[in-house]
Amino acid sequence: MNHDPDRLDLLDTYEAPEPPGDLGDRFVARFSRLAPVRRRARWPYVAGGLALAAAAAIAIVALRSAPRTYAGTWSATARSTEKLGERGVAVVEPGGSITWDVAASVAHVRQDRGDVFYRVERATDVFEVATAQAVVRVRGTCFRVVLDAYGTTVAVYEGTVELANARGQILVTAGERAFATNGVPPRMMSGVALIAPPLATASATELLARDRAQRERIAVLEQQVATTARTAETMNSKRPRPIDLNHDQLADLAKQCMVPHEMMPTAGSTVMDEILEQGAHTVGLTAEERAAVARLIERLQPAYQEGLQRLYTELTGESGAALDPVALITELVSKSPAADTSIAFQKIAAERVAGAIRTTTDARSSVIERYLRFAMASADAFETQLAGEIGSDRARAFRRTWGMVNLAPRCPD
Amino acid sequence: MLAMVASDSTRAAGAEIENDELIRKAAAGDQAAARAFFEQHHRSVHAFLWRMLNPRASRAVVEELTQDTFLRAFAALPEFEIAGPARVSSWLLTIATRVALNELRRLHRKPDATVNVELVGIPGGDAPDEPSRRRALAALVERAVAALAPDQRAVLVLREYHDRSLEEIATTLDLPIGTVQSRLARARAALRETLKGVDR
Repeated sequence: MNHDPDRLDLLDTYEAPEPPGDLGDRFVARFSRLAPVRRRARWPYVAGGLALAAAAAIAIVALRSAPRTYAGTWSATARSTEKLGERGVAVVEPGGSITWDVAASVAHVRQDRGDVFYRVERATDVFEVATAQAVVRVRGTCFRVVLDAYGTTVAVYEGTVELANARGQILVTAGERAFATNGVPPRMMSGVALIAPPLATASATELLARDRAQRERIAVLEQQVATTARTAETMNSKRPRPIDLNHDQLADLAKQCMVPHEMMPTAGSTVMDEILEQGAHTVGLTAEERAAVARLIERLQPAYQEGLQRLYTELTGESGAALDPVALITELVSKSPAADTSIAFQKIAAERVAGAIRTTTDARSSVIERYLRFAMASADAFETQLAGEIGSDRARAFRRTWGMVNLAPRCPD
Repeated sequence: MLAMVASDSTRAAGAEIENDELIRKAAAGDQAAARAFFEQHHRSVHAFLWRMLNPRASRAVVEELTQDTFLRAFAALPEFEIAGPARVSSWLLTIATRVALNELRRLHRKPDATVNVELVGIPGGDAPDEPSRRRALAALVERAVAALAPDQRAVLVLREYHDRSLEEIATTLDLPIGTVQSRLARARAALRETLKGVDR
């Protein structure tokens, strides 16, 4: 460090984290994949022709004069993150395969198989993902494309995308999913993706292959359902709900700086809708009780959403207006600085053990600490008000089915 | 990596020659050279980008941009004068600075308008232990640095955490030295104001 007399000694306390040990490996992997791009930058007329030929099946690529271009191909054997030039990021799940060609204003991605999550940073220009069945034109920022034996499924988390094929196109907005396959227009999915009927012209061989693929898929899904059910059973039996934790359990959690807490019921999120529906079913809520829950959500959600949004804006600088409460919570928890998270969780876990959680928010605290206090107070308020409508026992029983945030941050050193 | 050398100055010269070799080979597509060069310098670049972008960019983004910095360095080899006065480490920080400022611009961030750092009391009871105090101080400083305008933050981070001279910073940011001095003074004043009253 320098010996400037004006230097602030306090700055020494702020240490940057060590980069992960595998960063060199990841860099070399990118370096080797991007090698053709560097050559292309020097001789655009040679490599550009090759790239255009490769991309001909997808779309016409319009390059601006002297653009900075990125191109590559990646087949993932483990989850990996690929930067698509300066336009976005693709998280490729194992088995996924993509080819990309990204210029200053136009980005084309060909996804041949698998499950890929995309985040597009600038949505004003052209960004397309093409599959065998459809083209996904990005109008927003955050979405997932899954290819399987039946077609292409798109799930949108933020913004809007257009799903198009030769038979038509639809707009898919945040929280929605849509499906496209050959021969029929793309359609929105309402919870379950229906398998498209076979083409009238399909041969017996094609039908047999289709039948075999479907039976294999069913076997895999049945296995997944059984595994999920076993996991849920185990977790429910081993992990008490936050409101039922005794002192010893809270103390154990505090040692690990863990503060599991419920998410207040809200509307507008597919995940939350499913959780609440499952909970209402488990508890056996009557029609009147369900109506009471819905009224309460309508009454309490605006302030809850506004509170989460305010924290999100403070943390990221973005408005978060397009995000539902569950997405806001996920972002707040994942984007908070690790040091703040560790300190906040340690502090509140200790308060919980002492039975004295401060519920008032303090503007001087970190965003993650204020989020925790706000989320826990909101859940308590919801239960209290629901108890006034359907009785405390029923409200408590319903609360035991709510979604939970269960983060295990590293305790401060 | 380096042969035995007799003095600090010759060691530094040897390191620069070795860096030149590595970067030339890497630019020609030599993976071993690219890795060796990356391993030598990536901690400094990563730390710089972290302090420039935290908390607006995630850890994963900082790691990606660290890699980007090196890829850009190899791509821009013709711009770097091997025999010129700039150190390779300074050159990398110059590229990293552009990468960081581009990232902040791209994200349309306006830290002055959106980040409100206030004085936070040091947590703890009657006698907080030293590690707790230091962690709390670190969190305060982290937020205070993050609240600086990007141009001030770049000057401050280069000066305070990377020990660059004012002349080097002026070259890195392509600014007159007087502007560097005034930005550094403003950054320090802002930090002093934010951290005023913090018990060390």
